[in-house]
Amino acid sequence: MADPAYIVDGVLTDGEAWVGIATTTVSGTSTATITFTSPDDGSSTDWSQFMDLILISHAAGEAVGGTNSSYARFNSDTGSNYPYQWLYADGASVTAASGAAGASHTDRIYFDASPGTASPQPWGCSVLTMFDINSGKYKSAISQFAGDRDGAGMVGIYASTWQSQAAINRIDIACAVDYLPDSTFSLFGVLPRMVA
Amino acid sequence: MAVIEAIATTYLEADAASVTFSSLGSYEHLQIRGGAHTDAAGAGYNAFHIRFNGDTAANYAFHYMRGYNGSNTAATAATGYSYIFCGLEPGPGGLSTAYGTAIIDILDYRNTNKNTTISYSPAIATGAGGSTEVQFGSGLWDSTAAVTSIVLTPQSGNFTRGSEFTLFGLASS
Repeated sequence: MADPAYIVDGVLTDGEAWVGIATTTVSGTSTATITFTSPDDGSSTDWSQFMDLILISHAAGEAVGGTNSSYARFNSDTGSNYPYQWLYADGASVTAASGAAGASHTDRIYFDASPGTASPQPWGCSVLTMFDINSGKYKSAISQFAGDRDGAGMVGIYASTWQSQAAINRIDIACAVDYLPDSTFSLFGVLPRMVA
Repeated sequence: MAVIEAIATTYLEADAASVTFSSLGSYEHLQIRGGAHTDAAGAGYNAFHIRFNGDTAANYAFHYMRGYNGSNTAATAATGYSYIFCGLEPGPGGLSTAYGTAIIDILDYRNTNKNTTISYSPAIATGAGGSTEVQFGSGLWDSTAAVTSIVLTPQSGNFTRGSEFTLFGLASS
């Protein structure tokens, strides 16, 4: 594979550690699934060069009231391979929960609390980090999120592991309902700097 | 200068007792992102901690909230420690391919008018016996010295091969 454009004669020419890969904003009609895939073309957005990926989202589901949890799956894996530990609060109490691989809710990584429609329209936000995505390790992820419903909502931290040693090259994002227009998802790649 | 710059990545090719960053550059803030595994026997998982400028005296404090091993929640505060807890890592009883993760922010680290404060978010979702934990915490180094070096050390044992940490500098101008 050719060097990415920012490496010239083996030397880094771009000092930015975060590389903007893509932003998807729902427009027109509501959308059920957002998908990001590695271009696998040696370009500056090829995922094979990144240490971590970071997904920043600001989204809402179309259901009236309530909270819709966004989730991600890697490489189209729909098996129960995503054990988790959660810690979240809803304005009145704090809750922790976990699930080992194979248990309920482990067929995806939950990373967000995207509020449903209300007036005023609330939006959920989250920052999901996926670590060492090209390694032969199981892939770890952590998300900090906040979903406000104007007097209710959720804030929390979710940690998950995708029990696969494959490099991550595809992320599918969805919630129980469709995402409303203006929901936006931005994916960044984080470069390492290997030094002697 | 880039806004966020990767200063150095340490990717362990062999077990190591600690990881040190000693060239910190001139940024506004620092961030460490990474993941670790330990060879310490016993617990399903372990913590790792951070020290600055080689200071091993009881000049550190920290507090954090956590959810762990299912529905358990707790909050902890401590002072007079010789380090700040800031990370989590699975041990040999669990999956060798599973690593804990941590994001550690070290704010305004060159300012000699302030004590150094950090925030951290470590997690582990597959320790031995299914042990799990997620935290959000802060730490204090009771010193106004500019931070010139950082050492990450497992609570016991070594970081194992494949553990990795990257130090980033955040510049505002």
